[in-house]
Order: sequence, then structure tokens, then C-alpha cells
Amino acid sequence: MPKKPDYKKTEKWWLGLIVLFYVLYNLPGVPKYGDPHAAILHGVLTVLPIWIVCYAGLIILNKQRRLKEVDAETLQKMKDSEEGDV
Amino acid sequence: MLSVNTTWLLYIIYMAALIAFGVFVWWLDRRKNARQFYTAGNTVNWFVLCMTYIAALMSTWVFFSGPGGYYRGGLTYWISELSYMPLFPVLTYFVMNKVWLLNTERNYTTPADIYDDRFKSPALRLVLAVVFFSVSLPYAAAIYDACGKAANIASGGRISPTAVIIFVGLTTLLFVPFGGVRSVAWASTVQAWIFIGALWLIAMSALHYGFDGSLTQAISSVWQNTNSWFSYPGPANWVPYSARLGYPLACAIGWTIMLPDVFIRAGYFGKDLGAQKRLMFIQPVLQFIVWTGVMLIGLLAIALIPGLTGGDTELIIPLLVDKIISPNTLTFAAVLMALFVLGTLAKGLSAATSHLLVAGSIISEDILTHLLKLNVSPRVHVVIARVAVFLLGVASMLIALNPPTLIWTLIMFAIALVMPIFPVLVAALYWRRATAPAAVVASIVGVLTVLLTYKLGYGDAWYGLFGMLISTVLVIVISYCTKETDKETLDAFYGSLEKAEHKFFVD
Repeated sequence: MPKKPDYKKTEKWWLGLIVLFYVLYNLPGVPKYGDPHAAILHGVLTVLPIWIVCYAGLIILNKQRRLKEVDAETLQKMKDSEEGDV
Repeated sequence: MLSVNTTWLLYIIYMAALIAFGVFVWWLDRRKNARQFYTAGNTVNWFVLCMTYIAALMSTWVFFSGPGGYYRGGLTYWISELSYMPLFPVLTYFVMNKVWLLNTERNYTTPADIYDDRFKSPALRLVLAVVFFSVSLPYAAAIYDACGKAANIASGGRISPTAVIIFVGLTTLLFVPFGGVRSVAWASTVQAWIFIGALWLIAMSALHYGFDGSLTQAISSVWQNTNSWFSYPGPANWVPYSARLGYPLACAIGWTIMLPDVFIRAGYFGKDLGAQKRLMFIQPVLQFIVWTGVMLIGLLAIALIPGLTGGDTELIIPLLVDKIISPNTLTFAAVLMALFVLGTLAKGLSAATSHLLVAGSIISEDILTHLLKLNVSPRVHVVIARVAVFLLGVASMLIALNPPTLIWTLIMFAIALVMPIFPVLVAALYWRRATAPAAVVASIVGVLTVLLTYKLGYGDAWYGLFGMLISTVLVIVISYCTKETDKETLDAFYGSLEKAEHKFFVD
């Protein structure tokens, strides 16, 4: 069986961690109403990690899955010429 | 307050510049087809893509309801905003980049095109056209209305909102049908800088004149006097646990992905995948900059002018200028009020023109071309596209002049209404077993569930979450109960996606 590319695994971890911290951020009853210190701490411990995971994942994925140097316009021209040949 | 002449001068100069730009772009791109007119056909570079995206996203909400929202919602409202911003790159990576890849092979124009391409269902196209159109046209009308309101406030009530609505409506009609999406994209790039600059200058000025520039002092003042501003559910109970989940999800899915004007930007505009990559990196940061500026204005307002309720909270910016800055410096206060007018105009027009174009594409492409099978030459097609946008512009202006209650309801619903369409898109991209009947039923029942959520009084907290869940279940269950889509259609669709991935990614 061919080995799955590295980025597939990273994608799963990335999505999983984002969902995990999003669920943690949304735990019902946490933090309790009317407690400003708890609200700030809760935001730091849940929302900040979502940002960190988001950007860390993006950077890793962009390293693992490189883009070719080609834009859509060039490809469209290629496609038009292919169709012209036919 | 600004004089009547100054306010009108601001409007006239701004709109004249906009029209001149629209005509210039029309002259440059005279021979473009309807697809280029509506979506720029994958030619927008990363910088314009990022700026037009943020400009289309932020409506006049930034200058009216936004600061009022933070005034009433508090810090936890801001935290809930922060929780959805980083979801944009994830959703774009897994969903919108695939839409973009498919678009390079399949040449889409309207948001419904990709659904129809996958499911081959005129019924689904009709349902989506109705949903997308329902959220676009009232949006444009509401923005015209906000521009009238801004001029009226800035001039101390001496300028009639009706006169401004007619003026802005008519000049927009000259701008949009000429230049199409390319002129709208470039203009909104400039407009985005204007509104972000105006927003932060107003915030910094209020901080300077209200607290001698000390943010610590401002925070201490709110901490002592309105401590509930820092905790759940906020000073006006805006952020209970339900809204903390429902609202950010509605923003992440409905507002930043599925509203038709942003859908075509994230899916059809980008020049290459490099532009898509930068959009993913930059967009959360831009949103952070805008929302933090709006939050700061809300914080300063609750410290400096406490006790506002209801609709008064939407006038925080002019009130701050009038009550806090004006007693210190009249000239600078007038400059800030001018920036408030220009910011509203810039922000409003970039969103209104985007919505008008999408609404026009739905009429000319989805309805006339695909559903009614109108067969005309490409030249006539572009003329129809321009006429459609023009007529919709007139309709928006007329709605703004006499807005029914429903218009505001529809805008509040807008980001929730489009949420049930998202699971159908995900199924279309990732699941071969998804069928057309499932997509149609899931879309209709999902949207109806959202309406029911609001009807039963849960909409303000849960938005479109229930509709999206119902839609997800239905698309799965009904797909298993109905006949599979034919292999030829599926192979063509997924084959195109695979082919595009090979073209753009290093294997």
C-alpha cells in the first residue's frame, strides 16, 4: 500500500486540535457568570491556543505541501490553446 | 457637527471619484465576458483579494451596531469574535481552496454554479438562487439606509437621509454596472484602508481626549464602574453560553464563507493558490485589527458615556466626537466626523456594490441563463448582466427609501440563513455518495429550521446552528435512501478537482 503523504497526517492533527480547543472554549458552565478574572483566564487558555494551532498548522502544511509556480491565468491560456488544438 | 455644504461636498467628491474609477476600469476591460464581469475569472492578485475580502465582509456595522455591540456585550463578546477568526484559514484550506481549484477547471460565475455542477439539479440551483438573492438585496438596501443615517447625524439632522440615499443610490448605479467586479475589488481595496484608518483614528482620539492616552486608566475606569463588562454574559447579557457558541459559528461559516459576496471572493477571485495562501494568513489578522478597534471604541464609550441603551448605543461614535472630543477641539472633531461619514460611505459602498453584483449574477446567470435557458451572444449576455445590476440597484434604493421591517429581519437572518448550505457544500466536495435530492431537501429544510429558530425566539443566541445540524443529518440520511449520482458526472467533477490539484501542488 502506498505511504500516505505527511501533510495528510498534519491535516488531521490540525483539524483535531482546532476542534478540541474550540470545544474547550465552549464548555457549558465554564467560566462561571459574573467572574471577570475567570473569563480572561478562560480566554487565554482556550482562544489563544486556537490562534497558535491555526498558524502553526498553516506554516507546517505549507512546508509539507508545496505549490507549483503557476497561476490560473496561465493555466487558462494553456487550456484555451489545448481546446484550440482539438 | 459638519455643515450641510461640507457633508454634501464629501459625498460628491467621493462618489465622483468612484464613478471615474468605474468608467476607467470599464474602458480597460471593454471586451470582458459575463464571468469576468461578475467574478474577475481568477485574476485578482493577493493584495487586492485580501483587501476586497475584508471590505466586503465588514458592513456599516463597523461604525454603528459594532461599537454598540461591544458597549453592551463587553470583553467576552470580543473573545467570542476572536474564537472564530482563526477558523477562517481552516475552513478555507479544507473547503474554499477546493472550490477555487474546481473553478480553475470548471469556470463558475455564481455561488450556485458549483452546487449545480456537482448535483446537476435545477431545483437546487433555484433554491440556492432564492436564498443567496434573499440575503444580498436587502443587505445593499440597508447599507444605503446607513449612509443616509450617517449624513443626517454628521450634519446635526440638517441633511435629509432620503436625499443622501437617492444620491448614493444613483451614483452607485453609474459605478457598478460599468466596471463590474474588478472595479469593485480595486475600489474596495482603497475603501478598506479608509475605513480601517478612520476607525482607529476615532478610537485613538477618544482615548487621547477621554483618558490622556492612557489605556490602563480607561480599563481601570470600566473595571471599577462597570465590572460586568469583563465577564460572561456581559453588561447587557449579550454573551450567554449559547450565544458564545452560536454567534461565532454563524460568523465563521455564515458570515466569512457562505454569504454570496464573500463566497465568490474566497472561491472564485484569487489569481493563484499563493493568493489563497496569503488570504488564509492575512485575513484573521485584518479582522483582529478591525474588531479590536471597534471593541476599543465600545470600551471607551462605556467608560466615558455610560448609561446608553437600545438604539442610542449605535450612535456611540458621533456621541464620542460630540461629547468628548468636540469640547477640546472643534476643528479636529469636525475632521473626525468627516472621517465617520467617509468611513461609513467607504465601508457601506464596498459591501453594497459587492452584494449588488452577486444579486445581479443570480438574476442574469442562475435564473435567465440556466433556469430559463436564455440563449444569447456573449456581448448581449454582458449587457444583460449590466442591466440586471442596474435594475437591482434601483430596487435596493427604493427599498432603502421606504425600508419594510422585514429588511432588518432579513439582514439579522442573513448569516444564519446561509449556514445550512454549508454541509451541502462539504458533502459535494468530499462525498461521492451525496445525491441531488438530499442536497435539495437538506437546503430547504435547513433554511426553514433557521426561520423556525428565529420564530421561536432562539435565533439571537443560536443563529443558524440548528438549521446546519438538521441539514447535515438530512444530507447524509437522504443520500443513503436515494439513487447514487451517475458515475460520469462524479468522475467529471472529482476528476477536475484531482487534475487541478496536480497542476497547482508539487506531487
